[in-house]
Amino acid sequence: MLKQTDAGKGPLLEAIAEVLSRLGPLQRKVLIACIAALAGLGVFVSFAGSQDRAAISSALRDPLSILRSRSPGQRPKGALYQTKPRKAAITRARPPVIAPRPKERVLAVVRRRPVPAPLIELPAFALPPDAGLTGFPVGVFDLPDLGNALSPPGFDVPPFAFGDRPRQTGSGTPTPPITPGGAVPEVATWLMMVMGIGMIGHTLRRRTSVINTPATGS
Amino acid sequence: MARTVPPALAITGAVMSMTIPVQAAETTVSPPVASRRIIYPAARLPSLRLPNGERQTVRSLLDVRQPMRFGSYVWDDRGVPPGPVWMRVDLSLQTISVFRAGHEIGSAVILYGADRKPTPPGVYPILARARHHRSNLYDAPMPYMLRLTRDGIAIHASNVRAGAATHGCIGVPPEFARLLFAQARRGDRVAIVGAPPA
Repeated sequence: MLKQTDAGKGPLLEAIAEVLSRLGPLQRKVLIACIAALAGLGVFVSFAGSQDRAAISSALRDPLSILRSRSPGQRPKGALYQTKPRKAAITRARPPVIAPRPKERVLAVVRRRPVPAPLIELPAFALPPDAGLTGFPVGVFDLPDLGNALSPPGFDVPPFAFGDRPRQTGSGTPTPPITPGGAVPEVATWLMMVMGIGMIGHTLRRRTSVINTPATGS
Repeated sequence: MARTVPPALAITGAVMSMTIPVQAAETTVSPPVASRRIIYPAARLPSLRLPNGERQTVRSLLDVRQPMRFGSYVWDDRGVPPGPVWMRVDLSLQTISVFRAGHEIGSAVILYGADRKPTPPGVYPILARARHHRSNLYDAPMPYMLRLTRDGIAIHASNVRAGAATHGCIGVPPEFARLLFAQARRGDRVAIVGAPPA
């Protein structure tokens, strides 16, 4: 009957049934217990695996857990930390800027450059013939200096100036123009130069020969 | 019982099951890249909550397998398509994450405001960018500056080290700041979340 019902279920169950029929009762019980234990272990493993997968997927679903795993941790509460220094401290720590200063020194005596007085030209005027010269400043005008035979008593006074420099007037004789000397020296100059150079050369030559002469005597 | 799986084991299992290896042929020493990327299935994309209540979906995350050190960062935008860029600054985690088109392309440890000068949480658009900026409040160089608020809160390059804090700005490592500056445009949004422990 067993064979008939199991006939359609396949050769594996047939073989199992055959093995079971060949075994004794004790052996049959042991074999069934082993199979049951194996089946139970498989069920447990598959259950635990499914739970693992659930935990993994739930952890994966939360990206925060991944981000948390890479974190160096929270900053400790009330920790001492360094921050940026204040701007004032930075500027204080900076080396002072050394700018080039203008050089100046104090003179003991204050001297002023004399300011030249402006030149005042007086218009030419004519003295009356009988006018005395006492009214003029003494040092400036001296009749014997200025006067000569060419200037009559009623001469025209050339324009003069007040100032620190005497003004050159056009009344004197013109100085002849200075002609520069010739570019080529004279024969005598040539001769003198040649003679001088010759003397120098002779002296040097003689001195050298004296030095080079071996010392004789003791 | 099985719910108390240690998260490290869970993450490791997830990584082994859901990551793709990056081509080892490219040997770019700098920037340091995360070797792997955690890609979420397109059917069940998670999202991150912003301080203003919005949610931003996340398509993938860089797999940084260990806590980052101060001054270190990761950057890997290979294979990430162009798209909208946004940044998430987490003050309690002391990290920043840069997302492009939903994929995380960079992350770094940050410095944030001291207790007396806290960094305000919120969602801010980038108001201005400046490659060579010098603070007129502190007379200090702040290269690669991304200004967030009109009163001076910005993301800029800084010497990120343990035991340091800012006056409200967000300091990132200089090389990371350079990469971030190249990515960010005016108007891109920066979410500063996670109030620091009071």
